[in-house]
Amino acid sequence: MSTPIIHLNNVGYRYPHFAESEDLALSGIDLRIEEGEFVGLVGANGSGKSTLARLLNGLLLPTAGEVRVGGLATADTANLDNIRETVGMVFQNPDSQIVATSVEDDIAFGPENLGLPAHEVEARVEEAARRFGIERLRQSEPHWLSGGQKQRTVLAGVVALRPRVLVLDEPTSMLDPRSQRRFRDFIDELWRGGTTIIYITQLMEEIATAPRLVVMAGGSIAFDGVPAEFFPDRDLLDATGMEPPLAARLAAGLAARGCQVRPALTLPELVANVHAGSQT
Amino acid sequence: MRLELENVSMVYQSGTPFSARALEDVSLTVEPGERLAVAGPVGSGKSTLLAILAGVETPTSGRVIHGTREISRRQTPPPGSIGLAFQSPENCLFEKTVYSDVSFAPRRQGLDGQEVRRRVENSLAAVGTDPASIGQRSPFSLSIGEQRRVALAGVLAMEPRALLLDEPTAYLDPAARRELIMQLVELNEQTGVTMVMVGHDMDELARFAGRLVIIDGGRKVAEGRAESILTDSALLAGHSLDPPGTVELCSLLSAATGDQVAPALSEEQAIETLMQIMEGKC
Repeated sequence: MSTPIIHLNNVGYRYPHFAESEDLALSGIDLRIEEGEFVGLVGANGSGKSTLARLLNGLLLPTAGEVRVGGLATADTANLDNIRETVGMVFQNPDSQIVATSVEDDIAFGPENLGLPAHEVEARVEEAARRFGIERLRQSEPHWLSGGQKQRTVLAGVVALRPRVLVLDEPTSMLDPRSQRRFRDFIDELWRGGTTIIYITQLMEEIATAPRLVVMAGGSIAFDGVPAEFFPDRDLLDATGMEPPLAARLAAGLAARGCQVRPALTLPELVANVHAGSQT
Repeated sequence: MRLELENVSMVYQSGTPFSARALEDVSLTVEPGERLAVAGPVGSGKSTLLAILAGVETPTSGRVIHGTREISRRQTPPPGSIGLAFQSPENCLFEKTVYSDVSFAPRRQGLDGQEVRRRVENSLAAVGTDPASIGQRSPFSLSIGEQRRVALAGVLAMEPRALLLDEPTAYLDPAARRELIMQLVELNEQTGVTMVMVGHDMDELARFAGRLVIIDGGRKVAEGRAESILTDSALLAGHSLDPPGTVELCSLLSAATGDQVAPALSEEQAIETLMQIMEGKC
């Protein structure tokens, strides 16, 4: 069997300022992600998603078990440069991720630190700025941008590094719906190009069609499978504090009123099922 | 309290090469006790509008009026009259315990101990937390959803006459979002505190707002009853906004059935609509 790009083996994590008696942030996590997968990662606030994300490139080191990236253990500091080139991260708050005094310098920061030649850095900055629609803002000072514009600056900076794995921690929460869709299309494009994607979100619509869904609850993995098996399962939803996407809620509402309709995760799917049902 | 903007324009870093126009000739009246939502795409000027409405930013031109008082750099709003919750207000938490954090503003207002205690307990209860169990904990040991509520309780403890909220549900999980919106609506109905909320999730604004304003490119481009704006898919699409999911569903149903399906604004209504289409199959 090939080496998975991400491998967590019985991983636990306790934040250092927490007393022994308090709950572990993570415990007993076993997770294998193969290169090229798209994994949606969801869970209620405080379930451990963001802690898990920080373990994936050695920002946090497990207090139990082992995290391996491309076969290299994050606990060995000699591996960290390599691991951080492999795994790119985008966090929730763009303000804490902007380092430079102009948008283009911020995007260039990562590629420059990889030691790439100037023309290559410029090409990557230009491409990333274009992809996120911020060419016009290249000379702007980041602290004058709106929240969503800052978020796109951060994303452009990480994508310019061309990491093999992209971990995205609620990347679209500051974006308007159109920018959210544009961003999701771009992530799908990166995924089809072979980048492994780990996508954390609170918007169930964003991962309703993901090939693989991992659901966290209370610091453990409560579900690992396809979304179509998770969202119709009332017990699992209650146990994890999750809400299904709108289409699934409406389908369940119809079922509760005695209208049998095939389960659906997206609105077009629901409309097709309802329309087919009304015609037979 | 009535809040008014009259012909407000805002230019950041005016007169420098970085000069950027954030708002252009915006006039707006927020009626006492109403729940108004301000929506718009990324960078449209929503947050600037909220900051000017609160009196923490001074517009380049135009007037800001709170009740009968004109607000300016020299004439700031009376302390505690306006509650402004920034994006991610939990970043403003700083005290050792939840109780001392929430009581910070009322203590600064010079209120006596009994009144401070009453306000802290009421505020924490209003955001759905239990003062007895949470009061002595460190705010930093709480989950982000709890931190958000504690931070909002700190704003409520001033008992402001208007509450201005900048994307109050960002980063919260779906259950916490739903609950927070419910609590805000309940608070408005019980106390009559005027509320202005900035956001771009139309499903959420549909549950919150009585009236809705759309800002795009620094200009006010639409204003009206929430039902009429939220069901106008063409208007919303023109400003990078999506209709609520239930309205989108009805558009898809219209296209699939060839009949004009009236837009639904709640999940209950959407289920009714679906049952009508499935008639005889239930």
